[in-house]
Amino acid sequence: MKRVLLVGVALIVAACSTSSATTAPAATQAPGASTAASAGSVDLSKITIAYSGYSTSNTYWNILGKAAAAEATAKGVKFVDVTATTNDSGIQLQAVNSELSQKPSAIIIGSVDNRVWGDTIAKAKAAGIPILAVDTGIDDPYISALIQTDNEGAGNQIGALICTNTSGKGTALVLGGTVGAQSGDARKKGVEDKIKACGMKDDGQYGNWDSATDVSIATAAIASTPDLTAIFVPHSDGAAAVAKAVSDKGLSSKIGVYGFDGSAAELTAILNGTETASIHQDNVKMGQTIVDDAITILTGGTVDKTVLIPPVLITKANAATFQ
Amino acid sequence: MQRQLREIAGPLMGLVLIWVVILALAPIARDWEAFDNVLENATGSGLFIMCCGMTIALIGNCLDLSVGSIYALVSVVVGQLLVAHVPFPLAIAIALGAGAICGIINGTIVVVTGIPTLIATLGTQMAFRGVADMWGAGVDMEQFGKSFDWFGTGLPGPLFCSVIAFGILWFILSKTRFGFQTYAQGGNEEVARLAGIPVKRNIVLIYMICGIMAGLASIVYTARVDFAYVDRGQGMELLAIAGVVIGGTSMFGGIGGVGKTVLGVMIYESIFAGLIYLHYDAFWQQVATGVVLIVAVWMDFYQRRASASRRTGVINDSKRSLWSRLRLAC
Repeated sequence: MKRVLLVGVALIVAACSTSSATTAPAATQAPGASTAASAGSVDLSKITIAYSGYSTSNTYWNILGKAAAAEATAKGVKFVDVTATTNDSGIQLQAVNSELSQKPSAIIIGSVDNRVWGDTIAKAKAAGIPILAVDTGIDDPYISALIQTDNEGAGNQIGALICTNTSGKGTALVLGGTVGAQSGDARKKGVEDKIKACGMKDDGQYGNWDSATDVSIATAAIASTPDLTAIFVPHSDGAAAVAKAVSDKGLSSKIGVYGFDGSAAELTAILNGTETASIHQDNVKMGQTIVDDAITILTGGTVDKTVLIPPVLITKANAATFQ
Repeated sequence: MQRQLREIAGPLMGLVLIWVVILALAPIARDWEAFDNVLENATGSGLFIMCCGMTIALIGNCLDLSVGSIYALVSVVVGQLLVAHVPFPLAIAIALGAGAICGIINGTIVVVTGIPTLIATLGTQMAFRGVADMWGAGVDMEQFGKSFDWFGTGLPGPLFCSVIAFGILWFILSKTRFGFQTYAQGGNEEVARLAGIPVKRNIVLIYMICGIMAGLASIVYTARVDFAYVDRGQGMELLAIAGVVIGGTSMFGGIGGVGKTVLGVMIYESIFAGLIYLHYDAFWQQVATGVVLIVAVWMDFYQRRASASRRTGVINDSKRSLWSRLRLAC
């Protein structure tokens, strides 16, 4: 009986060591750099890509996660989604660290807070597991690849449109997400750079990615800023909510509302004329590309460190094409 | 009446002081629209209604941390029903029923298992949000029609719902046996049990009312923005607790009232709006609310110690003025 057990344990250990030898990239070499392995010699079915997005309750991230999962299935690699239900950076960190202990071949992170990953990256580096970032950058040289919308560029597009629509007159309320969140800050900065350049007054605030807070700030700004001509909200839920609040006050023709992500509610608002414009992020392409990049790295290929997917401005003229 | 006025004197003076400062420093706030905006945000976000539910919960010593998740879940329920063309009165009734069921689950867990309320409702907070995600993540729920939107549009609809919530809670707390029992068991649960009060039944009822109020709050906000979304209500339980406690309802049970909650929510929303009128960053709102919350709890704690010493006839530190206590400490 003992012998049978010993043989069993030996077989399991052998299987595990074979698996890790096949899937993990060579030693602690910089991920993405050429390794000895080649695409032809790697069994894709033994690759496991772990993914942690922003939250399961966010529509934009759901689409991105599903696109990534579908791409992984199409390519024949295993895909493990460890996205938490809430956008809590602590919970996301725990989920990724737990998955890290399972030794996946690569980890893709859509970060809630890009500043919390130092220890995780050190562990991943020690284990030779590449980390890729999607949508939100993580400031560490170990990150093998980043795919994201050019958030600042998108903000610039919105800012330029605000300047055109207002002829550079009045005050713009420019909302950010949470302070320090890379994508929200980049969007806010992009808008602010343009509106300041065209001579508008900038009223910058942070709505913590919460639509009720966005609405409260926006309505207070409407009451206290007589020359308010534009409101920018950096996320879809908040933009649609603020557009409705402005419309309820009968101010849609005076105050333009500009959003981000272009969700169904936003598209309806744009077509109704209660929201002026939004930004379409190609989250499907992001999900597919980041999985492709992970596979390329794991099979010894190289990828671009940063890929900025061009944003598309949504206005009344083209909103119907996104529905 | 005199006693009631004395009880709300602190928060009322606080509210008046806040508005004196706002009006002095921000001329723009002297317009009715500025005050209307505060009322709209207090009622339209559903915070006031949620605070009504939290008031009875705290008076009965039944802390509920799951109200934010009930808010999200009910938003999904009402959204799904309305996009399926269920008549809006029926959709609202079912959604409120969902809030009530969540509350009954909370109460039952607390009563049956004896788990502390904080842990029990922390668990259901996660569970309810998970259910909301299962039903609503990625689902497009919008454009519910003008009849439903009325409940959240402008001031009349949300104010109507808030007045109903206030009226129901005021009636329950001041005119019913159940309300009296809620104060009694909040003050001392063991004594209430020995006095023959059906404590367990009351706990379930308290959580049920709290769940219904969270549901109504969610319906008002969903109508206000005209679309449902699962990612709502995060952290709202803490805002609700803050609003109630700032008004003067005790964190430790047995003391409070829905009238105090009106003042508490108005203080919270006035600080929020006032700092924006004064063009301060939103962070200062969090700092100011935090400070006011600490002061409110400290005052509650101080009053309790003072009244306890009065009952026992012991002269202790709490009887002395703050100044003489500071001098003694030095």
